[in-house]
Amino acid sequence: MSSSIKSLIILLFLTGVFACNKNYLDKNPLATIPANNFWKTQSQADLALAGIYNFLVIGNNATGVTAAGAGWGGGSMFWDAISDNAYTTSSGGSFGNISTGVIEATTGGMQLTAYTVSYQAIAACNNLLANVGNIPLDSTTMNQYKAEAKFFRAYYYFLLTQLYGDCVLTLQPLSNDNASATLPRTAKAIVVDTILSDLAFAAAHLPNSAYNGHVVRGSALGYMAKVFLANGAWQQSAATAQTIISEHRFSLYTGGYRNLFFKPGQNGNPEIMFSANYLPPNLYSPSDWLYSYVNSIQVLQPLVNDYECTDGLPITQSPLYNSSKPYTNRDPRLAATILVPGVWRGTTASTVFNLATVTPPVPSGFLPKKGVDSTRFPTTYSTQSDQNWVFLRYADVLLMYAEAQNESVGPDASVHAAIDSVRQRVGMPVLPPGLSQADMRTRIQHERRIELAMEGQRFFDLKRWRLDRVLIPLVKDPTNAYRTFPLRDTLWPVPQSEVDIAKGYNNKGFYQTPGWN
Amino acid sequence: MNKLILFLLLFQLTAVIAVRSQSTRISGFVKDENGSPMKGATVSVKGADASTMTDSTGRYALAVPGARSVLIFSYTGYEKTEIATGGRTSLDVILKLSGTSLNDVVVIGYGTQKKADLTGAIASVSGADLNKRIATDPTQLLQGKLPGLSLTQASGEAGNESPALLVRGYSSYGSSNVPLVIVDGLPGSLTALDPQNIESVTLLKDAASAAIYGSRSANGVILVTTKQGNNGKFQLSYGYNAGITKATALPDLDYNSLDYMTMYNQAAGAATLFTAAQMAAYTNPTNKTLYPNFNWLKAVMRTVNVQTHHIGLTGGRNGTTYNVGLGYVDQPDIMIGFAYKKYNLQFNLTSKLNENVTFGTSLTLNYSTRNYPEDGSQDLFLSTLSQAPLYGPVLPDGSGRYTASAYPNISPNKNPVAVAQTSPGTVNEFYEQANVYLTVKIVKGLEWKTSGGLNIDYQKTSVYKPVINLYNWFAGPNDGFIRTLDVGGQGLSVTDSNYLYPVGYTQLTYNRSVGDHHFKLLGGTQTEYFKGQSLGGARVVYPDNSLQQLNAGSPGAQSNSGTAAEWSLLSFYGRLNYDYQDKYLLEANARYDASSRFPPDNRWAFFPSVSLGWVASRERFFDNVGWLSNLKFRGSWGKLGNQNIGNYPYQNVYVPSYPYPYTSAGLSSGAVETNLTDQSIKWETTRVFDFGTDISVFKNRLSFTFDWYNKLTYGILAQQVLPSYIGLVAPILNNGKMRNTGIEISAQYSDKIGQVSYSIGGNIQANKNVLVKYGPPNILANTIDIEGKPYGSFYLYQYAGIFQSADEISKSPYQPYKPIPGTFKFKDLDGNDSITANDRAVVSGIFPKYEYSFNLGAGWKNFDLTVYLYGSQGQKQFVTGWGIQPFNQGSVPTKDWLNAWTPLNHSTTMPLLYITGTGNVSSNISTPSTYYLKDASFLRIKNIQVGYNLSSKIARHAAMSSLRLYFAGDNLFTFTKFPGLDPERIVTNARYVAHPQNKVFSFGVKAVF
Repeated sequence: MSSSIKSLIILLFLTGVFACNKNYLDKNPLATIPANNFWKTQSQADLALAGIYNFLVIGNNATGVTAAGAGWGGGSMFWDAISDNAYTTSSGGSFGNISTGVIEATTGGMQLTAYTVSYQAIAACNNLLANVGNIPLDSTTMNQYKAEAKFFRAYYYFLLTQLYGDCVLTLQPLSNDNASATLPRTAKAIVVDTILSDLAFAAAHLPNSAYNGHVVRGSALGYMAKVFLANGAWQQSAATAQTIISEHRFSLYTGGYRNLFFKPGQNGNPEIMFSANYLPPNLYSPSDWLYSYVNSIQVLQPLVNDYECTDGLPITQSPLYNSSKPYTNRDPRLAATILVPGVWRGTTASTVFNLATVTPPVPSGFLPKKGVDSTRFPTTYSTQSDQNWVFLRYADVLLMYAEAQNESVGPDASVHAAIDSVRQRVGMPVLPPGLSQADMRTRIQHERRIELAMEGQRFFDLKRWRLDRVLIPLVKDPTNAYRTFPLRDTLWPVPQSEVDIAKGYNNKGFYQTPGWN
Repeated sequence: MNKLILFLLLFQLTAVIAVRSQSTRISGFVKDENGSPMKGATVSVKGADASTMTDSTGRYALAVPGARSVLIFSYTGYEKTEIATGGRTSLDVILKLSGTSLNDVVVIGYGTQKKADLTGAIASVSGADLNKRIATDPTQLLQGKLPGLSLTQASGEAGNESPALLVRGYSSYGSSNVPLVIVDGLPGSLTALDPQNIESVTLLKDAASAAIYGSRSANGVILVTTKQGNNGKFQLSYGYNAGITKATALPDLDYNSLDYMTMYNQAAGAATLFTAAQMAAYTNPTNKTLYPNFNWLKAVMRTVNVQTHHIGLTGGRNGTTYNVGLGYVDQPDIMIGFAYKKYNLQFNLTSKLNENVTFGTSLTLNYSTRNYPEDGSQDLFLSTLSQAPLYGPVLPDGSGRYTASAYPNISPNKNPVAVAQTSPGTVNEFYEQANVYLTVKIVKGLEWKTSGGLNIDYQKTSVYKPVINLYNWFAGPNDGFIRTLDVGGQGLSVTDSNYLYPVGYTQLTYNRSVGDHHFKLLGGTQTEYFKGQSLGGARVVYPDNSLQQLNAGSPGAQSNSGTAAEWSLLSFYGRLNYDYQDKYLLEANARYDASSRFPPDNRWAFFPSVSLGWVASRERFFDNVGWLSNLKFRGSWGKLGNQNIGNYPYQNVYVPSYPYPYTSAGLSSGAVETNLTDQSIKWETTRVFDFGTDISVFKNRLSFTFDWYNKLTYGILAQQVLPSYIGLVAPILNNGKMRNTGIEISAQYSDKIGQVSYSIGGNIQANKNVLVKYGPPNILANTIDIEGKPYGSFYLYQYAGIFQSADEISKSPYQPYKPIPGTFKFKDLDGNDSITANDRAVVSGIFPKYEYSFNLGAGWKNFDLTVYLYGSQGQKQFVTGWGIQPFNQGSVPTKDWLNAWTPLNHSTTMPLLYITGTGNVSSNISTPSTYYLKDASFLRIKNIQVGYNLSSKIARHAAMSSLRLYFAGDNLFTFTKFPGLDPERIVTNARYVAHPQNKVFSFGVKAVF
């Protein structure tokens, strides 16, 4: 073969390899779904809905504190560290900094992500609400998708109003245009009205059944009661809680208080009304290693002391209290909630909780136990926890009812019944008769602290009772330093970047939370 | 289009004609400028296969086809000389040293050009010059060698040096700033080459020279040419280098245990103090093994021997030449747990099929293995600094158990020795870049070239994370462990990733001279396609740590992942060169490009450029100016494009990776629209003006090049700044304008005094970057992007000293974090008597003001010496954390902290001691302020090499034609004010710790047989 022909073959080959193809320049993503193909089928509505629920489990599959979503999902116990229940030195979510009362617009952590994550979730909800109508669905099904999205929109706006007060309110998907970028902060009262109307829609269109992972009517009513309560609407809160009670879809779990926080007790549990769900190995919670490996949350002595003796009397009064055996004859919720020195965990003698050897050190003297699976000890960053984090349960509804009813009507029999049923479930005696409204208020506040301890509720309870500014400065941390709670801390500053950007857009309606300018 | 190609092919076929003629013999001597005979010079006949090499007397003899033959004399480092035989039978020639020659041909886009005819801004460096330094990655060798190119070596980590290349400043902030690298005509990798196989490297800086690469030329283009073989005898060469390598600089830490405990107690709150008994144990201990002053830096940093081998095989006959290089690099790292090995094959072949057809191929095969502890070098370094001197990495009882810490009051970061020894990460990479080309001379002056290439990369990354128990330093034999080693997870994860990247172009070149008018025309088309894929798998639970393959793990907890992405480009390009009498020069380039990354309507874009040159020295009025060898003025204007913005920037998508388990029955898939997109994005464009001059005087002994440029990038593809309440990631859109202006000056002088030849040279480059248009500023933790300032400028609180008293605090503006005496005071810039976000200010120093280098060379008899200095001036680094701040996860303070502020020692430079990360004092001192801005200017003796070439007489006795021995030192000394570690670094997370740079003392030998 002549070299010319050979060269011809080579050239033909080379040009053939790169022969022109009509679609040569049309390259579309290979692992994501094109938006113009979305909102066509019901299974896509399911995809979008699960995408919204996924915001509940931020920090899943984390193998380090930074990624563990402190304050979210299984990391929700961090909220107790900025109340008078617990202490943290962890950098997780900047809760350590926030706890000492030194919060700034650049603090970051939860001060930042409560804002950004909430709005991401709200955008996902608004997106579903704006587009689900394109899918041919019967009106019941359609309304149920909308109801779930509205529940979540309300849930995240509620968090925003609790932390920042006034906030940007949008019920439509936003874009990158100037109008979207120059929205004002809307007055909190208006945002709260929107939250309540979303929850009312959700309550009307969600199935009235037990909780099965999807939110149900009870979940929506429960949050409605919470929103009313947080905004001082006692009568409406009591009425809403009463609706849940009288509809009998939920009840107090009798399989053991501690089992409320683990599987399999959580499966089909009649008390749980809303939770962040996990399923290892593909979607697991960081709870066990957060609370038993890096010891990021430490329980403070005053909470331990607040548990009554089994006779229903505080340890300062009860004859059952023995200061040399301080943990016996106590409200059983103490042993179920708090790990005290000498308690075994794991399988070997070396894993007993010993203050002298535990690392990282536990200067507060106590670790949390609620929602922490001792059988997994010793844990590591790779420990995969399956327990769901409970956000709302029937006991909370009963206590909300008691609180709202006591405030609006007074300590009537229904108030006693509600709080007593929570106490009796763990074998604690009922409250004495003849309590004044103020006495009852104190009792309810005490009961909420004990029943819901380390569940991430206390910070918001103190905020509602306006006791944060009173009680938090009394907290003496293991560093021997007292905390501070400047009055401005009742509402947090929005992220500095938001203020900087608003300034860049000359958005006059957007301002920093008062006190941080 | 297909018809056209067929026509061209037929045309090409008919054009292939062999020529025969009669031959005569010719002989002569080749000498250098001193009259010394040159052995091994290549003599070949232009346009024919015949060639030979000179013997030790410099004599050659060969047959030439006829009286009109032209002989080509060449010798590495000397000017290639062409002489017509004119029927002579004897012809002697003197070869001149090259370096300042204007007859040199430089590689340019899709061709070559005589240096004298250049009108664009181009810098080039020869392989010989590059190889005066020793490096395992040739990219590192470019530092300071090409004016206009700024090279920062990110770290000295073996196989992961990640040198960052920047041509004439940041031209974009949304898309990539990495210059396009072309190896032997096609996009490729410079890192994958063995430095010794490089013939030359050319940098295209301005629009005129780079526009022919339109689509991706905005960041400059680096053209690499690998060595081709020479017609002649088979030649074997062997090179060896051994380099004793250690860190250039390390922080000065106080590894005295008692100091540590004392300072810690000074810093800590009451709850976590060292007790008096603990401190007593470390006070003049009798058992220094149990109570050591352990130096962790010494346990992790080491001195290693880096070795490189290179075997070269070159030769050719009958029109076919080859050059084969085999390289091996064994590069242990100065930090434990890291290592790199590289095996390299370069295979270049050129063959003249006949008078008119040339076929060639170049192939690079590279196989490398990189080992690293799973957490990487920065993390290993910071966890090293986090360890107190009170204990060592393994228990003193000889049990081999790893230590957690000595006392529970401090929780140090992970034990670095345990991580390095038990948690391996490995990257095995196989990389191939190959191309074949065929050139056909169709008729006189018309040449058709087609080239096709394929780059293949295959990487397998495995990371094993064991469960390792850590014990208290004082643990007894039966004491349990107190925690497990934090390796960020558990088990084995393996990821296979690969890409295929075929490229091809075909082009016609036409050369024609009409009288004094010379024309050169080029036109061609190119296409590129890229597909990357990855597949990953992981298992969590392993029976023990000895079996580290997926199948050895329990299938109970396992996961997998995988994805793929692709893009494509289609282009047409052309060039016109015209000159009149080699005096007035014109060049015009154009490229018409389409990228799959843009929406269909905006896919195509046109990038033109034009440049003019005037060789003034050829004008008559300079005829009498004998000292002036060359004087040229040149100017250019053009537009360049950029599309490096991710593969699918405009497509609006739902990301299906957000599942949720409603019940324990299983996960439900979930999808979220995470990003806003702009469906109307188009090419980012950079417009460049360049004016330059080239001057050589005194018979080219002194040469001087100057360039000024103004580079304006507009329609910058970047993420919009949007408030986060929008809830979606802001889109990438065409927004913003940025300007870079600068100058580049280089000068070189070579001469000879008696038997000493010497050269001295240097270059300096200064670039000024400014954001012309940006929109709402983008403010990050310590930087700002704002109009009128350089991109990414520092934006910080102004450090105003240390509070000396409570009185001073009360008289100062309100400061956050409740300052106490000994903490920082910040300036109240807006005068509202309170330190707020409005008191941050732009601080200069994000980019160097100028970078410069000097080179000195000298030769005497068989000895030679080169000295190379490199410097960078005016850059600042913002550094915090381990090594700067005390007790960050227990981190050991530097000796500076012995002078910490106390009520008795009113230091004005060091604040009081504190535990970084906890409490108000830490928050105050950690405020991002100018206190942490350190001057990172430096001048370093980058390289000194002393070589000795054995006289050829002696070499011949050892059956060698030459033998060279040399000693070299790299990064020998650095002049800088930067504290502790090396100022040359790229750290994006504001941390002080970064893998140190390397200081190398090496010995090498190069033998040619």
